[in-house]
Amino acid sequence: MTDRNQGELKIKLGHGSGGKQSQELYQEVFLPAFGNRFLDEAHDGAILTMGNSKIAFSTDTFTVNPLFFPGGNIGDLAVNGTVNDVAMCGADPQYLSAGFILEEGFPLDQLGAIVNSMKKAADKAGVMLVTGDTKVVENGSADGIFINTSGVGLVREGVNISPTRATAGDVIIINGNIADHGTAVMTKREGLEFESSVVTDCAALNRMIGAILDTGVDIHVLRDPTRGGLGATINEITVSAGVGIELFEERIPLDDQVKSLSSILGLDPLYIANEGKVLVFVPEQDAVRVLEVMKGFQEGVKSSIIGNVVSKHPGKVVMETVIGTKRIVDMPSGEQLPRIC
Amino acid sequence: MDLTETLKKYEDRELVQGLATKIKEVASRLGPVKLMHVCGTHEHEIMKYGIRQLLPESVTIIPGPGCPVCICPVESIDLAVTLSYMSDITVLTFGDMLRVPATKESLADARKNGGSVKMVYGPLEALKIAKENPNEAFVFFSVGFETTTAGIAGLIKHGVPQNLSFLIANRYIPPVFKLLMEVHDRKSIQGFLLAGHAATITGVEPYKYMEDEFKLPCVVAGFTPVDILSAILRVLKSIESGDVRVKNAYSRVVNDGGNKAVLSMMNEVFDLVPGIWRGIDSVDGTAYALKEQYQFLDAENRYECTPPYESRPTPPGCQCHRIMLGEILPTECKMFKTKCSPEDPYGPCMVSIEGTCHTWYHGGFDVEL
Repeated sequence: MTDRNQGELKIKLGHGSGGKQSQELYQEVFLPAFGNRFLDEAHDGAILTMGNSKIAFSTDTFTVNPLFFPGGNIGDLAVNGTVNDVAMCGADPQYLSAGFILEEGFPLDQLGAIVNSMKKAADKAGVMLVTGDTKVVENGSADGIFINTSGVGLVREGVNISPTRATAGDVIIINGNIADHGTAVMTKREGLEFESSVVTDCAALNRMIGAILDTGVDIHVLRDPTRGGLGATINEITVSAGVGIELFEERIPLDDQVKSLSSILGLDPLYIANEGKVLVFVPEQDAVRVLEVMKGFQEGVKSSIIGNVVSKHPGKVVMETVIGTKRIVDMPSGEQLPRIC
Repeated sequence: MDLTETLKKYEDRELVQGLATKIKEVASRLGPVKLMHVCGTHEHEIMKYGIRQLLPESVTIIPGPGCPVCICPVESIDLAVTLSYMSDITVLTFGDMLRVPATKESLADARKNGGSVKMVYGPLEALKIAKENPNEAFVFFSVGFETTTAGIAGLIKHGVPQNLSFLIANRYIPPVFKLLMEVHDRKSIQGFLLAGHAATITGVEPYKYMEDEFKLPCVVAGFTPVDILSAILRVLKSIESGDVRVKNAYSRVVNDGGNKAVLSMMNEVFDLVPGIWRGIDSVDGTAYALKEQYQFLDAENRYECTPPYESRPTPPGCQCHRIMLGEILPTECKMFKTKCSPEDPYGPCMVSIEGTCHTWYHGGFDVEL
């Protein structure tokens, strides 16, 4: 985190973008202080042994502007996000906590709507909110509402899921359109406000993932490509596992409107956030079986094999473009901004 | 046809391969050809689609001064920084402008150090903020070429609240080729791809001087693979036939006459005066300046404000100005990927997705492996 312009280093927005700067903050500040064998895994959650049980434990904090966006709000995100993080550990999420930081003056009816969405999302995912906390800060000290959720669940017997297990020969499956969430939020940002019918893909994936695990296939990696999009997540996996990845642009599902909007704004859908997507890495011989299971779920109808793990170019993601050329898909840096021209 | 269908059609593999074959055919009858584009989006799309992989070795496409964030004069950024520290003033600007290195500090640095700076997605958001906070003063720091400038002109024409003023650093592209031809000649560049976005506003007329003055073929290019390759093919054919008339290979979007209504609105709001292109030089008729009757909206007039230091456009060792002129490529700059990265940009071309160095940093297959 060098910054030649500043004697004193300060947090930048990019440190929260899920890209390179977030990685640096984690590597240079948090890991030196907290580093342990669980954090070293760099997984979506920690897998802990307590008594005779293996438990997955994950936490996430949610800030979004606007709070309400097409197809959802910060409440849905807070529940589904943590449910998914626990599920990505190969566990069945059961219990959630919720912490609220509220800004003085925040409308109660909005809070009611958010809480209601959380309840609905929890019911749908089959989890319970069992403990919580609320703090109110002065007007100006927060942006309406921030929510933190944590979740726990029992890890399935015999599963071993970790980004480090991505292996040459693995096939990569995604459960549908990329970039819907980020685009839906973007269309409601002040100053952009596009008319479109794009809605967030925010959804709990634990039931679909449970069904994938039920097949008994040796799933190597499960990862939800949220902040930083598919591009950031896939790069993290190549680095964790020391492998290369090949993607095929033609096979990556993308909504037509999202394609048009991102082209107008100059944004790359590969780096736009998702909230209901999972990347599944499976040995090639099991790929079709897993794909069929995924397609049986509403969240997985558009599942597609988008690439594979290779031993060449370790640490790099190379994509065959729609026109047949090759392109490096790099780790994004900072938040993508619409073009000016 | 809707936009998505168009996009898909213009990404068609067979069409693309067909064009690539024709390009190779024409190029085989020519010597080495170097073409320049003047649009950040062109560089971005060329890299994103790996267009250079489809070109024969004898055809080179180099990026020129096509990024409004990169060419924004440091003097304007320094002024915006100084304004941000004045009590009761908030500077509103595009997200990319926050991170552009300036003489002492960027706008993002100023914000961390107590300046009042807020990112907006566009002028309409600036208008909304100003209306919602009538007791505060706002300066919209505006950059951009013709396309963005049209929006600013519209806003100003429509009327703005008295607590909003403007720091205008917008630039007009067509005359910039005169600057480019001071460092290049017909041996070092054989033709230009013109920016499709900007040409939707101006049409091809303002580029006609190129026919007589420099006798170099110029072709308006769109942004899909088929658009870009078609434009390259048109330039090559023009070189072969010696036909230097300005051509439009993006006629499905760009009208040769431009957008008359928008042009007349822009002419009502702005004059074109000499303007600095960062680190390079001043070019006559390239800076948009508010006309007499709108001078009261000019932040420079409204607030007596000069930075307490002398502006320095180029940090030591930075090659951005030469990259913008097409004299060197980012990979020839010693700072590239060493001292200069998108996380911590040393020069202006590393900041925006339209910036050549930023695009090359995240690179294509052509650059790495």
